[in-house]
Amino acid sequence: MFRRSKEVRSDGEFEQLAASVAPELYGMALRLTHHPEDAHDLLQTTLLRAYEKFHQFQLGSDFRAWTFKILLSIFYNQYKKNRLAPKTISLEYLLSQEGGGWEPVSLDDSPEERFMQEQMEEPIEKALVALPAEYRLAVLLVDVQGFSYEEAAEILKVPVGTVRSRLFRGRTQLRTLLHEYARTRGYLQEGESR
Amino acid sequence: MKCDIGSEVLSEYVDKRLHPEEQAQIEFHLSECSECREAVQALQEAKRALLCVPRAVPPPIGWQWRLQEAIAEVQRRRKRQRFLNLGLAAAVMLFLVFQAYRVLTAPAPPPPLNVEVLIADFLHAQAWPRVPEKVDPYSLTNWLQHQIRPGPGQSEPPILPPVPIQVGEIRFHHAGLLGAFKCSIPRLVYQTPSGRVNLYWVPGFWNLDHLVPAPASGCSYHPRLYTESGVSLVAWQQGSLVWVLVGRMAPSDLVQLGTRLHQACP
Repeated sequence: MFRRSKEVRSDGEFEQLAASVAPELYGMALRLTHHPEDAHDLLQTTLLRAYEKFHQFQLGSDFRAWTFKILLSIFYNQYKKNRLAPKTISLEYLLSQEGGGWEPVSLDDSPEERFMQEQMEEPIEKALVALPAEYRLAVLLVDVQGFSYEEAAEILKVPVGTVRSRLFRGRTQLRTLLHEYARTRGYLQEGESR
Repeated sequence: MKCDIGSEVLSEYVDKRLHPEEQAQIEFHLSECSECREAVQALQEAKRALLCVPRAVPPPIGWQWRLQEAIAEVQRRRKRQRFLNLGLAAAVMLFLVFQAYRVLTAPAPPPPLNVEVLIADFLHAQAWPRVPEKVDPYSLTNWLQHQIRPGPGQSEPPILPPVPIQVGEIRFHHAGLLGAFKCSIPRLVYQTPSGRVNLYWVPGFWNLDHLVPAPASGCSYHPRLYTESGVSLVAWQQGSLVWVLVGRMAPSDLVQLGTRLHQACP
């Protein structure tokens, strides 16, 4: 779907491609920034940068992977310097909070805010937040976004072996975190594996 | 992990990325190794749990409109940049054309100046009033009387008495194109019926309007008005210019005149 042919590139073509990848980019941006407005800004900056560099986009390569690479590059170069860097929070800390979970601070009730709130209530989302950033990105790119190891390596600018390693550790830790969460909620008995 | 199966390979096994033969080898290994089996189970659980994480989230309403606005701004900026680049290229081209025109139409460069020759030619071209061979107060006065011309606002030059009442000098240092030299300006003072007339051989000047007396020193020339071309003779009466002697004297002549005056009127 995202493979580009050799036809002349136009603004309409770009807008069509942008519309097809925007929801996935926005989902990723939300998980990176944890804030709808910041995620929207990140999405806009990413797509605008993609538009500006559209002439550099290699024919035959994956537009989706290319835009994800831009998104992560912008996030780490620009957003990480500010307050938007994702924070790794231990599950113990999250569970120790009142109510047993993390309630994201929200000043309004926009659909995006509500989505974030609802999403963050999910144990898997909490576990993802608790993962170290590099493991989380590998897991998100491969297991959630469906990129291959090679594509994830290209997006993250690391060797494939590193992706493989981070993926293994990320998945293992994720499973442990989910089990701990289930145990604290009483879904699992002490010593029970499932 | 105690067995020799790399842990990362299990991830690839779970993702079915391995070669079919390797997949079969791992499956066989899992049937024997409970530790790896548990690890694979953990990985599969994690993968299953991640299936419920939404892959795409609809962006906020109006995101496309905002993007189009930003793209339109980029296009406007590119258009401006293209226009600026075009203008810059045109300016550079014009400059190059102008420079080429200048080079092609420039006259041949003049021969290098020989300053000494120029000065010598200039000095020789001057019609200096010759100082009399024999300088004494009488002959000098006679010579001066012939050189005097009416000054500004004067109709007739005064008749100088035969002998000046005072012969003196003003010492000065002159630094100019001809080099620095020490000199003294001769000064003659005559008593005429209309008052005293002071005659100075002042270093050459071109603009008499700027020649102002300096009462403190009694010097009637302005240092700023020195020229390198010679010395002019001017006459002053009671602090104002009354006559001008036409012509200028070379500094060497002035020195010679001063020396002769001193000899004649010690």
